[in-house]
Amino acid sequence: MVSATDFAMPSLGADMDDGVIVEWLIEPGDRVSRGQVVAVVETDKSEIEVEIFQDARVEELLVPAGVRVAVGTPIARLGGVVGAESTTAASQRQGSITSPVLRRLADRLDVDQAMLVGSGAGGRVRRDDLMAAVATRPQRRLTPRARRLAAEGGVDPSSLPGDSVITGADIEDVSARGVEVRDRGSHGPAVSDPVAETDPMRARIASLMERSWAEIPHFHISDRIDLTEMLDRLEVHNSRVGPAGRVLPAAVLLCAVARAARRVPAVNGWWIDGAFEAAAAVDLAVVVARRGGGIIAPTIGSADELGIVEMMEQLNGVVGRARAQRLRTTDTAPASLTVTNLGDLGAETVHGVILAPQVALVGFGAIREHVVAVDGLIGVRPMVSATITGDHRSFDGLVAARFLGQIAAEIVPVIAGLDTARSVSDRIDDLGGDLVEERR
Amino acid sequence: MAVERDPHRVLTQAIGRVAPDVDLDAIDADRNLREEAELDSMDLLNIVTAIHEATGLEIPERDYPHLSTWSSFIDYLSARL
Repeated sequence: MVSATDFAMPSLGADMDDGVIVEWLIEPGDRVSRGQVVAVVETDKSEIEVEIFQDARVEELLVPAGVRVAVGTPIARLGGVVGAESTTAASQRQGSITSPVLRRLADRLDVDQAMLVGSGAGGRVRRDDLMAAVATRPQRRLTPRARRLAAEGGVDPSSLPGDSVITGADIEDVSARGVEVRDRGSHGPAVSDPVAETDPMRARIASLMERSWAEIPHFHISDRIDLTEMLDRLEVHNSRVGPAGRVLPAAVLLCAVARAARRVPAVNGWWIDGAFEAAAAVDLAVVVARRGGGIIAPTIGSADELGIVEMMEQLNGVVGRARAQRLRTTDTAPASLTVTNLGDLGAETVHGVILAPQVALVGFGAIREHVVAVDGLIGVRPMVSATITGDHRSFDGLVAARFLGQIAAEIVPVIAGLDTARSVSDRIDDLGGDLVEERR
Repeated sequence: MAVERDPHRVLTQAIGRVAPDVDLDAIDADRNLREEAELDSMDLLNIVTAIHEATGLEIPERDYPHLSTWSSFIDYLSARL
């Protein structure tokens, strides 16, 4: 299938209405390939590096840098668009969505499933295909009155269901349902909270937390997990490789959570319209604190399928991009579960707030040494406090406890692939190192 | 190209690369560097990696206690660069 198509301003998060193109990284005539970063877009969240989801040639840039446009507005015209497969396979690629989570995602993003082209084996629709369909779907047609009302009322026409022409009455319906939080800042100076006015990220976190706290009956269960074996093994691994190959405990914990969520699917998904919908993949949102305040939760997709080395790379990537306020389109994909890790400078325990419509959040405190009973004796062990925060509408304490136990059980297997056997010469080296330290 | 040997410049450049938003002038050289600059374990690893790439010096994890303050970090680098 080769055709000309428009590349539209993507939706980079459910609460995004519009974005400013900060910078184009492509020019007319360029060939672009799947996964390439083509533009930098500024939302109230951060600057986001927008990736393209197909191979194509750039024909025309429709919107210049510096201009704010609504989600769904065509911003570039592409020619010679080809899928990941050869054109002869087109007939058999008439997309079938086999994954329930993608089907639901398609529903939520209001993508016409009949129009999807699958690039996976046997025409299977992959996540990238879905994102490509969202990014390139034609803009909804509006009557001139609807367009004017939408602009005045701050309504995003692409958020309306259906595919018929949008009329003024449709927009009035949406406007009547209430003014959104984001509109407060633009409606004159009568804003009581100066922080919300001056810092869009704070305002965004505020509305997200407000919604979660009002909607979700939170409950928390926690336990300490003994990390002695994991840390011992990591120490061996990290002493054998250069800094670039080292693995941090945070990455191991993320892998363990993702794998445990696969085993306890009741915690991995969304509470939508009064019922739990399980996710097929474990797409982990990772809470990243920014220096100077604020948090961003970029997504690591299919985290349960990542090995520890890949996870370390992914984590380093999303943390860096979140801190630099330069996320990529894939970082903003919807997540099925969130992890917050206070890190080694943090407090011991965290009882967090779930990011609706997710149903659970896993929190880790700082790894600290504790006096514990070990085989009937008193020992000192490095431990981490792990907390499962659950949506009590969706599951109960028993499931949360099982999930917590599963996380603990997955930790050591996560690093089984690393060469961490301690040899006799390592032990002598350790001893020698200590002696040198003492002499110094 | 000559390898950078000045410990101040090595550390300044490494932190600048990993955490460009840190105000180095505001850091107390004798207080905990990671708390002063809000550096987490990933930042510290990336700083150590940046130093390795710039100078070839490979700082093992067991030497991390020497990196606790700006002053001690500089002393550590001075002895090895």
